[in-house]
Amino acid sequence: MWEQLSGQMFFIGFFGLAAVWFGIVVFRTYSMVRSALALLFSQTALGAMFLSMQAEFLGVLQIMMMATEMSIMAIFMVMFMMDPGGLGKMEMTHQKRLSLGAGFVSFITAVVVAVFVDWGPVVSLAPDAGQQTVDLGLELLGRSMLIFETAGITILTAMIAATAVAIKPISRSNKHGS
Amino acid sequence: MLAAAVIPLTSGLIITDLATGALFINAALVYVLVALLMAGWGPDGAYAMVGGWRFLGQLIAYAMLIVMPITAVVMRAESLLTTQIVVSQADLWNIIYQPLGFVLFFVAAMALAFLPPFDLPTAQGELAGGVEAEYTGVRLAVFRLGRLVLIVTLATATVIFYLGGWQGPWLPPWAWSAIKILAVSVTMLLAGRTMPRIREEHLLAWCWKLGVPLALLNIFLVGILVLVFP
Repeated sequence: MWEQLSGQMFFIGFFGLAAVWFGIVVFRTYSMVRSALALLFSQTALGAMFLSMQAEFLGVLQIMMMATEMSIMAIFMVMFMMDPGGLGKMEMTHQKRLSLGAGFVSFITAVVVAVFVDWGPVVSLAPDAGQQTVDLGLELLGRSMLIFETAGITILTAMIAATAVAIKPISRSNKHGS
Repeated sequence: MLAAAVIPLTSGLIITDLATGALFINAALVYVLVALLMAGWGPDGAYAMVGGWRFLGQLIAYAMLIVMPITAVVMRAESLLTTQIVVSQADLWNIIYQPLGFVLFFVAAMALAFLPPFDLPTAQGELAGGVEAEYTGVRLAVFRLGRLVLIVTLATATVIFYLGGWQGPWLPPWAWSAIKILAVSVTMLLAGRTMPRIREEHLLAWCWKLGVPLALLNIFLVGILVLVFP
């Protein structure tokens, strides 16, 4: 069995376990910033899994995007929480039973989808990174365009709305400097 | 350091010519943000923490002005390969072809390296050193050395994206790379020395209200140029 374990399989497994472990750390810590950084490491490990699977563009993109996204998440948490700068302690889990139930159902659903969906034949040789980027570009600007544009605009709207909520309204008296 | 691995100094002098090189440079540079946030938050002190969060706000804004001008550069080269980007400038350097992109990228690079007048995370006058405030000795030396490496990396990226990389007459390619990188590094270090530090809210407002629309305009203009003069 060990002879069949290629370097690629080893790294996919290693980064997969790292992603799961850092995902657990997100809820085991008592700090918003530690939690955000753990989520960042988890997502970066996923990016490393993409790289291990020879999906270079997706891997680099995942590693790049997640650093910005998790940082944005951290800044939003600090904006909304009663914890100046994220220096204080905070319980990172809420509604534990509901969360556990939802997590379990999601896990089972993901496993069922992964095992029972017909994914088609496995590609024996991955196309080179340049070709993958071309294929991905055509996919994103073709049949998947509507999905991605919808997701992008939804996220942008949510961010603008959240920022608008966080801004303290300027009262008329303050506006005139009194 | 990771970004430097995909930046060519001559046509053959590159650690790894990744097919996603231009994207990889951006990916590596984004982790400066994470590093500075951790450095500011780690010491559990007010000044350092404020410096770290300032940089986060600053870089979320200026990361857009790094990636969007790179997009326009990649559009002209029709490749993410950094060597191909240099070759695409054989006839005309990008500083002439897309000057708006160059200005935006250069300013954003200075903000990314928190050089004056964008040195808000380490503001000596108001935050007593900010992110650096709690570090001394070897740790401070490593921090400052890392920043110098970052400046050289950004200067090298500017050279390959806008100044024709190793290309130039008479001198050998490595000499052109060295001269250009040195010139850009010195310009970055000296450009803001005599300017007053920009206020945080002004910095963010200029970026989001002026920089991002100009970067979109740059992509639009380069798109037209690429279509009209292929």
